[in-house]
Amino acid sequence: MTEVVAAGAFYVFALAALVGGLGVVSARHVVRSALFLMLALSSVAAIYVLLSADFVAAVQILIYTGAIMLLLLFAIMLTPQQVELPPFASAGQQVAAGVVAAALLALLVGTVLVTPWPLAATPLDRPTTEAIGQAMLTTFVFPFELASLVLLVGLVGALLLARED
Amino acid sequence: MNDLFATLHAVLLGLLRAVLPEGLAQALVTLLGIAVVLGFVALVVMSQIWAERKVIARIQDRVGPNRVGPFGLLQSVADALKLLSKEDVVPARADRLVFVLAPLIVLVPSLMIFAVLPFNWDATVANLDVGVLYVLALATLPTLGIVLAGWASYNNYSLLGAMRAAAQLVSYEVPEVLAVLPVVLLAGTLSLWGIVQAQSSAWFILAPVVGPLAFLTFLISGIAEVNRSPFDLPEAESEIIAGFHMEYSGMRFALFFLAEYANAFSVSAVAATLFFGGWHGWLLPGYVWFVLKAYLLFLVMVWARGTLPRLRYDQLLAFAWKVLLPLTLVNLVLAAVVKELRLLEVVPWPALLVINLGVVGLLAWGYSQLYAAAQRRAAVPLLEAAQGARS
Repeated sequence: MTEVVAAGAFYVFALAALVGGLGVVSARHVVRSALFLMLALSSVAAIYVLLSADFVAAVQILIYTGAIMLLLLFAIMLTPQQVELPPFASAGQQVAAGVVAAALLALLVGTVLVTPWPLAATPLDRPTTEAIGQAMLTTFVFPFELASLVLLVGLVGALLLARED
Repeated sequence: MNDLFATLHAVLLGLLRAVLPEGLAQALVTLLGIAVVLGFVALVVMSQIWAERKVIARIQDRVGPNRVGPFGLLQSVADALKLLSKEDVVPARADRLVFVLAPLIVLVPSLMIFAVLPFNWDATVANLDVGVLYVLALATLPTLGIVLAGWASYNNYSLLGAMRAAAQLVSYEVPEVLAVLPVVLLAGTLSLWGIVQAQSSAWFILAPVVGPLAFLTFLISGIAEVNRSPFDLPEAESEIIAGFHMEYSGMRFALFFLAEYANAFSVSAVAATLFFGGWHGWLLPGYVWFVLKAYLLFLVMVWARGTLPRLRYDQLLAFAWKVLLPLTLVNLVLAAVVKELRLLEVVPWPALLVINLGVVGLLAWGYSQLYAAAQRRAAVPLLEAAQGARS
């Protein structure tokens, strides 16, 4: 019962993520693209839930679907309306884009094939937050502190830039 | 009475198990729980609209709705019926798909928040291990809908409202998350159920300085996040007419309205959970306490709406970045001190209450002294000028 539901949910959300991703690149208007991106990001969050990564799923919604999408929409609205992108870029750009896309595809397929995927007999129904917290404050304490420092500097820098003088 | 929901759950599950397979029975009971919570939300929104109109009316020395039903209680029903029967208008140049989707993007996350609220020790639809994060994440999504609605309406005022909403959320989301962190630190869990459980000896509002400060910053940024007055800039009637929902009418407008009140209630309910001990209380059953606390906090929001003028745009952003953000960061450090000294466990709660009231009194006294000094400084040159003019 549970496995059937989980498998069904996986295919639904995977399909939604793919439709969202395709929509982002094929939509005619930028805001429509943003809407499709929202769909893609939320579906990925749902897949995280299916993988028992509850913390990552919540953060995905909080940061990506929430804050980043909002900033994106804000930026789109600050740019002039009615920007119609030319249907095809120049030949040189097409070639370059093709090469980059092929390289990325090769990398991702390679990673998927090389990585050993461990299979658990039962769904991992155990909270992840504590483990993530432990890892961040012991094994990965320096990267974690560094990232925090960078964010803090960014925050203070934004305040400095916004000062009216 | 305090295990009402656990008993109901057990009885229903037993009944369903007799006729259905195990998995289906569980799923049905969960669905029933969701239906009950959604019905509760509808009821709460109706009563909130009535309460808000009545209280605002009293603040403004009016009577408020008093024609439909006793004390005007059925006014919301009449309004909902009117909205349902209205013509559905979509502006000619609007982006139809986005225009139709936007109210749903606003409403659905607002309702999803109610799934994790711990109404009682035995009454949460889903006790998530990352409950706090879930609430914070979903609380940002309605603003996406608002921004899309403002854009899709093809109207300059709506677009202005949308941009205001976006900037406001980006600014107030940071202090909101930081205001919740002290509570997470003190409770040692992200689950809302666990946070309430951790307050069985002392509510977190009682944590010396940390509790009240965290509560105030959370309430302020929460009100800003749900766009209620005095932070209702995205829909400021006197500046941009109605902002993002200007072009919406009938049922689509009603969805925005419903989401706004559902959000207001979820902010007050989350504040009651995080700071006021959720279902903990005396004599009455836990769910009564929870709803009572949430309602009182909602009335505080109504009170703020009735008494405070709307902020100017630059004041709004400056307040978030220059006042709330530093305060919440300092508060986080203080929370670590309170946690390390185990103040909440060692000191009995009446003493904590006295400490907090003392700090509040001291702050009020200090502020009034500063205010009086500023008044005197302003008064001396004015008096001198007046004397100079006379002689």
